[in-house]
Amino acid sequence: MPVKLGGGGGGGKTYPQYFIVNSQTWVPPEDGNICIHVLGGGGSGAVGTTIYGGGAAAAYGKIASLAVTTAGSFTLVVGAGGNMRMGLGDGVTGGNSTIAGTGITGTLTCGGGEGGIQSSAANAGGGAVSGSANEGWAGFSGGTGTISGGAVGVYATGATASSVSFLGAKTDAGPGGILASRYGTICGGQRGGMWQSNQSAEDQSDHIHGEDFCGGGYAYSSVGINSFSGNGGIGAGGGACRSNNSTYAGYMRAGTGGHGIILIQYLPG
Amino acid sequence: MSSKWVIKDAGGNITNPCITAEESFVAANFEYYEAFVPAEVPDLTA
Repeated sequence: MPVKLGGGGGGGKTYPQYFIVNSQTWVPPEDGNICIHVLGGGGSGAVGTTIYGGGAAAAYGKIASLAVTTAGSFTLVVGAGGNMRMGLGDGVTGGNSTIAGTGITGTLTCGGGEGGIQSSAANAGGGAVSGSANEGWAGFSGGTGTISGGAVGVYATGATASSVSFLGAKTDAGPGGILASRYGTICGGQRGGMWQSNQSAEDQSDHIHGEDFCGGGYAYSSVGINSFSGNGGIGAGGGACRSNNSTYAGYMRAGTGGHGIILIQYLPG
Repeated sequence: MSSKWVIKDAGGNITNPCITAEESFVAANFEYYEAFVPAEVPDLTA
């Protein structure tokens, strides 16, 4: 079931928008012009002792304006974020989100972000955009995962987390979170997840998690077990988790990738 | 009920590693798929 939020407009007419988090067949409830934003699922972080990579972000794509009628129909597939990695190993790659249907040429895809890498020193790659540009479909690849998670890019390729600060990468989307989105513009969070060290499960800070489209923070533990890294925000990569003790590493939990989403907005005019 | 699914092609190759959907949607739109099974996570220890 899509979540519908009305948007105010001139003359009392409303321009609803639909936040779709579950794959479905969508039939426009009214005639008009819509903007479609698509994000895949972010990759989860890896767990390691000497090599430990954050998850990459998914791709973002957009059709700025598409005329629809109630006779049309769309197949919307929503990619899930990569599941949490526990114990030594690579993160999990996020799912692809796709759209197809009336007035769209073929299937348009936003690839999921790659899971963080523990098996080699490579960084996880961001998801890619693919499909016909006939209806103005365009977008950007997700940010690479380093130690913390990569971010979704709305106006350029997604940002990569700093390998110095270890903070999750921050999106370039406008502020206010996704619920601030209106009339063809999509908004995101303002903060990537913070990194932390040697925190018990009970002491985890909510600030380790990335806000909407922002990467999760990295975590490190030298003394305990049950440490968690930050989860990626919507479409973003999760943070890596490191232990200097291979026994403890079995209990380290890297951050999950943020789930994908499809946002459909009716447009004024 | 919504769940997670792995989508495959006729050769058994994964074409989409994980989507969220109800089973009826997956059955109607994909020929080859299976339920996503997450890795088992042990209980937290003290």
